[in-house]
Amino acid sequence: MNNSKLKKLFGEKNRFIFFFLLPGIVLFIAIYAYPLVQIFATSFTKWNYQNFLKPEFLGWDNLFSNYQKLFTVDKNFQRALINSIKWVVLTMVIQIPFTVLVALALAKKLKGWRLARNAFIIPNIISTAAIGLIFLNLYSPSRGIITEICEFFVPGSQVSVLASETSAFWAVTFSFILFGGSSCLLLLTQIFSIDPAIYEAARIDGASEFQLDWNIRLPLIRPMIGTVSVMAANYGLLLYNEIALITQGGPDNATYSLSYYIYKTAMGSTKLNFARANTAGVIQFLLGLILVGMINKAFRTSKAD
Amino acid sequence: MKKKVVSLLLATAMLATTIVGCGGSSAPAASDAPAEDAPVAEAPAADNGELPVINFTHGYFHSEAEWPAAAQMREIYQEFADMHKDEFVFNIIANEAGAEGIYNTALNDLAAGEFYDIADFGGWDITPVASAAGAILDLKPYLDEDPAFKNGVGVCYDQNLTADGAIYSVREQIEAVGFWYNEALFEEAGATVPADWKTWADFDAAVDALLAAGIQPVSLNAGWPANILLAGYNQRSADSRAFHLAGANVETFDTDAFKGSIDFMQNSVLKKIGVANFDPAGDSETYRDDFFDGKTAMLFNGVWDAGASVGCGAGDENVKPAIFPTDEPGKKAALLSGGCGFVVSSKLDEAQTAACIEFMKYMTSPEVASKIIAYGIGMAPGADINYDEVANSVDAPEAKLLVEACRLCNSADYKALGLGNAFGDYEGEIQSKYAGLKDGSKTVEDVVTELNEFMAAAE
Repeated sequence: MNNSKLKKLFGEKNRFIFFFLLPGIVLFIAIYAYPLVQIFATSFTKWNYQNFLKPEFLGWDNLFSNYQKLFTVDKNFQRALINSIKWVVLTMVIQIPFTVLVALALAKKLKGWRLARNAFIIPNIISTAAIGLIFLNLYSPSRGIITEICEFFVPGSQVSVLASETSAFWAVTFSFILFGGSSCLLLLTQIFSIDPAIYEAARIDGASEFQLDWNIRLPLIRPMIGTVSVMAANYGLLLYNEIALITQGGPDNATYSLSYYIYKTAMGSTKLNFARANTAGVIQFLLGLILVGMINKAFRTSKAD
Repeated sequence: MKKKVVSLLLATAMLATTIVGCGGSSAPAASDAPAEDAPVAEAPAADNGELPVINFTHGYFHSEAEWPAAAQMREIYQEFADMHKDEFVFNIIANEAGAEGIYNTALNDLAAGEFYDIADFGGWDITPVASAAGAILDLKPYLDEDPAFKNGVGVCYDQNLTADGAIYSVREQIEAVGFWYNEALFEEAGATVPADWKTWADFDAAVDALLAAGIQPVSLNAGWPANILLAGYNQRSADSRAFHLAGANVETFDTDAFKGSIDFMQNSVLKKIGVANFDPAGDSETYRDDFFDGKTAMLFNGVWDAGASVGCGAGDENVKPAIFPTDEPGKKAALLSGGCGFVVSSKLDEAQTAACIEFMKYMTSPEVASKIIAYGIGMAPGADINYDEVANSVDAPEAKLLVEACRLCNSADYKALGLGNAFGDYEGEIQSKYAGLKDGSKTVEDVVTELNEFMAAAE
């Protein structure tokens, strides 16, 4: 590196930028990077209530022992992993298409569109804890409206949504899957930023509203769909509040998510198995990276697009 | 230039704020300070530099209106502090996050090599991790040298004795659990009341009679009340009591004793009660409401629920306490769990340690035990409590009911730990099976297999 390059690197302007970045860098290292490295490192240790103050390295022969146990004997983890993947897939196949459809419909600016937009956003500005409690009451077998409705149509049906493994999974799923208000706002912003001249030209060529949506709006908001897909998939992968409040992982651990498993293993158990929980955390992190990579690849646009 | 100077100052200020924000503080944690609106009379006193100072942390932060028992507990603590104000400074600190907050703070403190001077963990068991870290005091020598102290802690002595022969915690009150029943509903159904049951066969007969009369025998959730019933049924025979006693140390769930208990839960209870009377949410309180509204005939909960009988829809006069039958005619069982209560730091000096021991002796003395029962706070563990005297000292019907419930639990032929205290992490796994047992999607064998798998994974 020659003198002029060095001078430029440590020049007044860069020093100035560095000063502004410094608080962010310090916070990132202290709050994010250090714990992340620690999570990775302790996934190769024995660390529970017996050696709370001093994690013990498992040794090279047993390096992946925690990982091995998760995938071979720990049924709760396996269930949590499968559920989390299911929730990611469901957000991609239900929440994203539904949100895109709502955004396309709202973009037509039909009468009452503002009211509809605001109504769609309301669940996203309510805390997930409150949403969880609302759904818990909806599903309650003694006072919930779902049981009442089923009883009205099929007397004696005695439906208890949260008592069955299958229905409990869907009960948790529906407590968040249709709430794409924030994503919808982002998509709407993107749609409104499209040059109206493009629509004019298409209409002159005789394009219908469907063709405008299919051939103009959807291709042009594709990068934003990619962005909201990453956000939604992450939400599905990290799901915790709804489970903690509605099912507490039950019945029979059928609604465990990775986040809930991590909490239960580390803090919800008398054994305080931090090593096992951190191992699950590493898997969750890697899964998140893979997901983001896949979604980015799927929604990547080229010049040809 | 001026702009650059201002920007530079701003950046420096941001960095300084970040560093200060990340720094430690010697001030007490906010959560340790009593709420402004909570009538917590005592406040941490300053170290006067002469007398030993002991900080005692507890979870009774609630206002009197919210939970009268909390105010009474604080009063008892304050009496002790006042009694010894010339010998040591006893700071009483209410943690507004309750016992769970005290436990979580202790975990953080342990990571930093610290521990409370003395704290009441209210059932949250910190002792395995704190003793492994060498942070807490073994109380056994102090209990062994003072028979009155040992009597005062009652069942806690044996229950909290660890495999290495130490006792890290004692408690001034215990979870005394039998169950409550609505006498009027039993009479309406023509069923034998629990007070007259000889064996569990009488329970089955009563449940059938109640159902035949269109009365729901019980409401449960997939947690506490169902676990009480299971633990109560575990006391039916010598084999099942031995299995229950082994608790978290059992080698397998594939035993006749455990299978019999799960079969009972499935076929004698869960399948018989209505869907609306089983809430799969483990923290639902509907089961209590149903009983006190007069909708169900039995409530599986502790003696402390005597207070809820006042003015309830079921009728105060109809609510009666009972303890569990066994399969040995006439023999009764109750669940008496000490659990984790007072825990003392091992890092205190001699004078501080002596003060903590004095405090625990005071809290487990017959005088305080009588107050705990008479005030309707709960049941005391002491073996020297004169229940007749306590009963005569109270006037309120709910207080009399509590004394009666405590006396009944104390009179049980078999006294065992609750399911959570006995089985630790397995409790959560067991309770997660109830929903499947109720709807028939799970068999007894399934439960056994899955619990054994959980055991293998936990090793």
